Amino acid sequence: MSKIEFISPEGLRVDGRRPQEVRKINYRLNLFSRADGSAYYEQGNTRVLAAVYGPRQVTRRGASKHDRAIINCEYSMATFSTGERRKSAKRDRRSTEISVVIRQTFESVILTHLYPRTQIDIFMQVLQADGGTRCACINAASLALIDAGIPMRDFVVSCAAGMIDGVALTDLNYIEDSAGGPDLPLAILPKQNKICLLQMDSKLTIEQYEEVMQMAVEGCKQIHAVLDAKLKDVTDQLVNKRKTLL
Amino acid sequence: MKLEASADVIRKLHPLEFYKRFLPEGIRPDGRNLNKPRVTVISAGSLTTAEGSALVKLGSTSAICGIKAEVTIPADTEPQCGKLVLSVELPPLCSPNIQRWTDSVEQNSSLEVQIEDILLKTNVLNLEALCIKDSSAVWVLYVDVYILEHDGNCFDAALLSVLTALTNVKLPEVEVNEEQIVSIVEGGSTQSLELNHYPIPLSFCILDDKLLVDPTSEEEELSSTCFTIVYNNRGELCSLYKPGGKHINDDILEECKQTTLNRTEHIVKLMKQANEAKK
Amino acid sequence: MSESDVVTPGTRIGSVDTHISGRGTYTRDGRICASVVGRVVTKDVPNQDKKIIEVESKQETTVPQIGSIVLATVVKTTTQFAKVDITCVEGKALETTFMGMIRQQDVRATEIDKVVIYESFRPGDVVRAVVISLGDSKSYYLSTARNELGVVFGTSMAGQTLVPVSWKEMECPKTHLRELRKVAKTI
Repeated sequence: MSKIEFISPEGLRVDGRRPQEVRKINYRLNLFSRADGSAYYEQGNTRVLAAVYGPRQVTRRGASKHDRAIINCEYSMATFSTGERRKSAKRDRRSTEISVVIRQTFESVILTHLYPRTQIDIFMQVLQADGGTRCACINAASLALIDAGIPMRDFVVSCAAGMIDGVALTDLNYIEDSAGGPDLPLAILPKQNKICLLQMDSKLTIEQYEEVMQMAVEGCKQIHAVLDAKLKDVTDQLVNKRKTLL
Repeated sequence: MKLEASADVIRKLHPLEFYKRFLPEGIRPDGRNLNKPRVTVISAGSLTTAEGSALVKLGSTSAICGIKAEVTIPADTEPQCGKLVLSVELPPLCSPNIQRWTDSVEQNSSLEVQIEDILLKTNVLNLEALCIKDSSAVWVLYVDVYILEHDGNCFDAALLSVLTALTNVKLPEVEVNEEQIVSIVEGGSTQSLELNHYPIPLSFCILDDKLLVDPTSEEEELSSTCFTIVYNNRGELCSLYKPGGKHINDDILEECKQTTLNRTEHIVKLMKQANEAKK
Repeated sequence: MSESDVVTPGTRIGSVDTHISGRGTYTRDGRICASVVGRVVTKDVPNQDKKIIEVESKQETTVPQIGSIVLATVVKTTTQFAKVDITCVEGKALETTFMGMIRQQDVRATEIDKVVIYESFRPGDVVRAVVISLGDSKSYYLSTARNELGVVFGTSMAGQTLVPVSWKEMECPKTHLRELRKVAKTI
């Protein structure tokens, strides 16, 4: 029996959300003048920065591919981003694994064949971690890639879901994540309804899995709607501004 | 024979020539006068996971500092003093010239040594204030600076972010029991830190024999020398840092010292405003 | 999908039967989808009854393509080739440079086996060239084998800007010494 009441009798979670509710999202594009694309993304208390450089010259000789661009992803958590200070090992195992996972997600989505012999760098920095950092970074990276004008097949969105005390929950925060239940981060291409990334740990029965998966998909769709709406406004202003300058 | 091309192209191919067209008029390509620093924006306490935090922007250069406090055993030689551990990082996302973490190791180390020297040798913070129990428990402050955007003059941004973060650190009240276990007092008060003085920096560079204040990264690359002067709010000179580079005259140094001194009041005011806004 | 609508990547904007896929779009299963965020624009294509559909976005990432005219700074010369740093593509300055190479056989169109690199380029010269291939893993291959390609800006041994005299000679205005270069003909 868990000490913390994750779901109140009224069906509310520790932070007052309903099980299927995603946290409040806020983002800004084009913060950095020197990066080709950048985004600052907030989902509840999780705050991440993403910067995209490229397509540019491949840094590692011999790594370049003759028919497409190579994608280089680096995920890093600031030492002060978590409750307990993280040791500043830049290449710790968890960061490397997440970098690889995110890179593979974007390799399939970016139209890399348009830029052979080049490299596209995606750097993600977590400033504050409150659960769902992997997913927040994917969303931030998607926005930064859009800001950089790098062509993609679709707008990748990501959300995690889990199950605590038999109730499926979307977008777990740190407290819920540490409860020991299953954690399922998911990234989809919303317009094509295709899965890019799917991970799951801990145990689930098939029925529970279906439920949690459905929650994650719904969560992704919620996030996509929020990101899309603001993006259209922002682009409208930018495209209008460009027209008046010409 | 002239190269017919747009301003952007000339800037890229012959950056020094490009600058030479501006400097004699007394302005720089970004519109500033030669002796004008960029607009400084300071905000404090926005990170909830850190005990103290600050974000400083100098034009397009930004630095974020987060301070985390932990309890540790003090050194035998200084049983009443807490500790301060500083680290500065320039991650690849801050600049197109830094493509791997290893590219910025030199810069990180230089900035760390510079800032640490100022903090510890000019006694900015009373390390005795971090003592919990003599000889058995003290606070250690892990001060971590990340340069999020590098457009020149990372040192100023980094030092200002450290100072502002230190001023908004909130340490919880703790107690030590007989088994030497330290625990947080429920509903206890929070301890803030008082800085003995505020060392405020200003960096300069010499480009084509002209003195520029607060250089951008393009100006730093073209300059023949860069140096930093630090004065505190009491008018005392805290640091002079000219790490090699072309020689300069005494009178230029005097001019720079005066410029730095004149700016300290404004910056300290910004820092105090940032902390007020947080409350 | 009406014109001048703002679209996000993945949005369907047309079909292969009615339009041709242009910049900022890609095709999937016979449908044309947007690949960047921007406004949908259709243009007429001469000699084709289908219109070309494109998405206009705020930023175009410039990368040297085959056929692009580039400005490059000569970094190193050997007997076989000149190594250059490509700094501008089609008039747009690049934030980070790409490496390029002009091989002996690509310096000029005639007598290509008699070319001496040191008499065509010197380190520090700015050269206008065309990208002929993506080259090997390290550099793009460039060519200056056209009249309007070659050195556009050079510095003499005395440090002065050289003045072109003919397609293969430039003169220093101070010392009046002539230096050999493959000069670009500026109209």
